[in-house]
Amino acid sequence: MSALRSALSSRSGPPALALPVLLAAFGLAAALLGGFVVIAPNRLLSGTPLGLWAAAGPAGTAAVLAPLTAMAGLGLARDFALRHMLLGLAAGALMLASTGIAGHAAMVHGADAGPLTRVSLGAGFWCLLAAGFFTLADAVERARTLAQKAVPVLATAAGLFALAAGGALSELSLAREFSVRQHAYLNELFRHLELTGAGLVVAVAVGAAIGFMAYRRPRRAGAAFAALDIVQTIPSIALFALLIGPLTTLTALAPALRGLGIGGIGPFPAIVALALYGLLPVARGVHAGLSGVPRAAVDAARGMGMTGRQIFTSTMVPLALPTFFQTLRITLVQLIGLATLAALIGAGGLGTFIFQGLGQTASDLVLLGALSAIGLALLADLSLRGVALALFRRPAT
Amino acid sequence: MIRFDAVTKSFGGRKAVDDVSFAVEPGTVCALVGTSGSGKSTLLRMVNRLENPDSGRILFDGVDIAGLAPVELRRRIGYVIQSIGLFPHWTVARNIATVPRLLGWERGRVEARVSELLDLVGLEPEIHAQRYPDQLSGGQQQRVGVARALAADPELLLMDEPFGAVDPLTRRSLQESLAAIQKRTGTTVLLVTHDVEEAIRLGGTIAMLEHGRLVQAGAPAAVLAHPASEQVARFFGGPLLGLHLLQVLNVGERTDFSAAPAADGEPIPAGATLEEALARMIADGVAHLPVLDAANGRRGTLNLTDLVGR
Repeated sequence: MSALRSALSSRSGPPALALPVLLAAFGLAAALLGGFVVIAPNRLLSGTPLGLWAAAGPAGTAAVLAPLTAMAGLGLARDFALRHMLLGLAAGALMLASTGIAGHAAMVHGADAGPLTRVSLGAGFWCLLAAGFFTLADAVERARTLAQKAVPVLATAAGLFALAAGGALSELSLAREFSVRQHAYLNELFRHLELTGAGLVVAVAVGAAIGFMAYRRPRRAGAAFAALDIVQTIPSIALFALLIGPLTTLTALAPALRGLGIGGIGPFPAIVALALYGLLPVARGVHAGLSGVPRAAVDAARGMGMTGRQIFTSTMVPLALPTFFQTLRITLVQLIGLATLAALIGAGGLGTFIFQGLGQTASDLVLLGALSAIGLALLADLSLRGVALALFRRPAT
Repeated sequence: MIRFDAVTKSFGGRKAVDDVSFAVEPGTVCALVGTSGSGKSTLLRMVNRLENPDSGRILFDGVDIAGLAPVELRRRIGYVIQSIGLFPHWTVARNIATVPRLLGWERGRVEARVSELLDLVGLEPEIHAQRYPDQLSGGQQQRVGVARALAADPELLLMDEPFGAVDPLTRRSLQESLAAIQKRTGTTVLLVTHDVEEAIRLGGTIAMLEHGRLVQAGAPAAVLAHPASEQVARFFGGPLLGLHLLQVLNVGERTDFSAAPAADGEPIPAGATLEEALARMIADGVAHLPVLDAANGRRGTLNLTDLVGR
């Protein structure tokens, strides 16, 4: 009994304090030991790392150390009302300072050398950014009110946007990869959103129907989920490739389909593959949501004289919605990541840059695609979390 | 109000309810008792057609319910279950308003009815109306459950082990509230319980089921005094059955009013149960209690031997 109690109480003990401190120490070590930026003679060759002090001088070093110190201090401090919001702001400041200083270093060191010189981000920078990001995520998770959650996130996002839009980062290799393909970038970004959106819509429509059927006919649920599980076990690259064969055969037999955009390569098979991947989580989410509705509530609804339709719309749906919405968020994030593979079968999207970069061994081009996909996934995750907080009294977590 | 006429219902070849016939008079409380699996819940759920009998008829106000639309029938009947089944995503007020809204009452009438009912079940409209079920204690939730069932002034209230999941003190207070509410509204109540004391306290009549068959029905005093079988006697306390008998008899029925009170001390009201009188005697260490019959302006004495009979 006492063991149980101590196990329970330890949940609210020291670990809550330790994470920001650990991350600050990790960031400090990375800032002191790792290369902050890497200077290379051109975009394909690997370069030489430059430490924080060498890259940014005393002022820049201080600007990175100040938020790190704040993070550690707040991490050790006793809990008070705004502690987690302030921790989040310190973490955001660390991310902004690191990014801004890296951009500045790129301008200074890029100007010294020739126009082909590339200044890219080093391991030390990424570690600092990660330290800031995880501290921010942890702080947002623990903050008590929606406002205390939103302020650090919005402030950090606005700061990063201002840095990028203000040109402070324009000399970084990543930004230069972007600026030479600005037009293509926007096209591929838009295409990425289209592919993900279309895949999600199909996954939700079909997955919700499967989830609902599985709920209504529990005996068939096992078979339905087993089939979807198998789809999930196909390696994602293989699934995109596997569709080429059958769809090409199909269009060969019925050439009219080609007019509709159906073929072995291109957006159509990509959307099909994404939808197939989304089916299982959506169906499971609908099934779990409906199964989680308290039986007593349904029994009471029936006993009080609600019609089947009224029970469904006023009891089942609202009670299943938080779980379903959470599934939707997870599925969307998953599909945004998977959609990078669509580039492999000629469907475009942010994966285009990743595979171009891999082909050219231009790591910053790979980063451009990968970071954009990560950013998109984060943005989708955060906005849907925000919507869930606003919509539901008890959002599923 | 309700007449069961040779009602039978099987689940997978096993008879849950077997040829049950009896009637519940309007304005009374009938407690359906029996061990788990005796068919009492099934019998109750057939009244609002959550289950349908395989054979036999159930008459509601003289009308065979098999000919009534289930949805309309259920809206005329209040329904309270053990797990309460409040809608967690609705406020207390919205929960109580469920059936009135299904019936299409206008807004003002619904609101007035909600506060009236919260008052009736002992909750404060200003404090509780806008809360969510998970912000209430178990007892308060069950009060809301009762208020919701009474919302549209049902002619009949079905209660399936309504107070089974709350602590004994809360259960006692809920039972007292229910008895008071029932007296005021005159609603007919059909109550399923496996709690003998609850059946005795609330039931104007008790109907006992065993393996789906009705084994005895009657007033609590009659059932306790003359249990129809060994099983009935065992259910009502076995060797302790006599103590339950003390719960159904009044002090007034056993008091000698012919002479002036022979005992000292605070008089016990004639309406109290013999159980209370015995408890007083044991606690005070006396064998005689003064009795006050305020309604008839009489005083008398209750002796310990009167508990056995007079």
